[in-house]
Amino acid sequence: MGKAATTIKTPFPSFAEAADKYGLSASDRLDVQRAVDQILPKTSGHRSRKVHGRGARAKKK
Amino acid sequence: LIAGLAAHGLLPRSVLEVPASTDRLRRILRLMRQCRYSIHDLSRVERSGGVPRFNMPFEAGLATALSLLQGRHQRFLLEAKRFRLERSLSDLNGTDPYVHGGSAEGVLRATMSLFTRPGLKLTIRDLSGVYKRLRLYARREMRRGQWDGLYSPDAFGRLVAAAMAIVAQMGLSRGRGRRRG
Repeated sequence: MGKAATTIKTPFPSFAEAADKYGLSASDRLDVQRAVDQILPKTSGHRSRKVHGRGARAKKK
Repeated sequence: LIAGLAAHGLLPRSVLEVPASTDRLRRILRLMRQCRYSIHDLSRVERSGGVPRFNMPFEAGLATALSLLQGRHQRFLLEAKRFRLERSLSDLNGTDPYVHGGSAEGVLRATMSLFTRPGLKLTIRDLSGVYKRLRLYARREMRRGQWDGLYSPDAFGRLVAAAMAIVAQMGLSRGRGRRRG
């Protein structure tokens, strides 16, 4: 008989939990969340496959 | 370290939370007892005003005592250089610290070695992603003059909260935080 497999959800602490723990006020939370929202789109995009630089220009020739 | 821990679903706490008071030592010990793990980077023993700061090794000693007395607490040591701990703290011979080489990637890899568990599929790229975004956040806040420094209770709290928000937005806390038992 196979061993019964159970899936246990590992409790990932949430933003709210961290903010509660560190006593962040409502405006502080908004401030942090807004700052994070501004950061993510800039760095989460995939890098273009287009090749730049002298090597690429040399190849084209 | 905050980025690495947050990505692994852990809520980082710090002695920065503990205000300087006569009761500080007791509060530090209480904070350690609340946590299952403690991490002590012994490469961070630096001089302040010409005097070496012994807080880190002292706290590592407290955590070592706690782990010996209470099996539940696990104390981990970090070092920048291999074999240095044998020379600086020979009482701990036989304890292997996690060597990070003084780099952020080394610290992230140390957190992977410490906290990777079955079902949590994180890569160094994931951790680097959290770290880079968190660093960007911290730099912006510093530039805005919001913080006195990184090592203040307010800055630490905001960094931890930002790390949790970044981990959630990157989707690392969804689907990957499952393990089989």
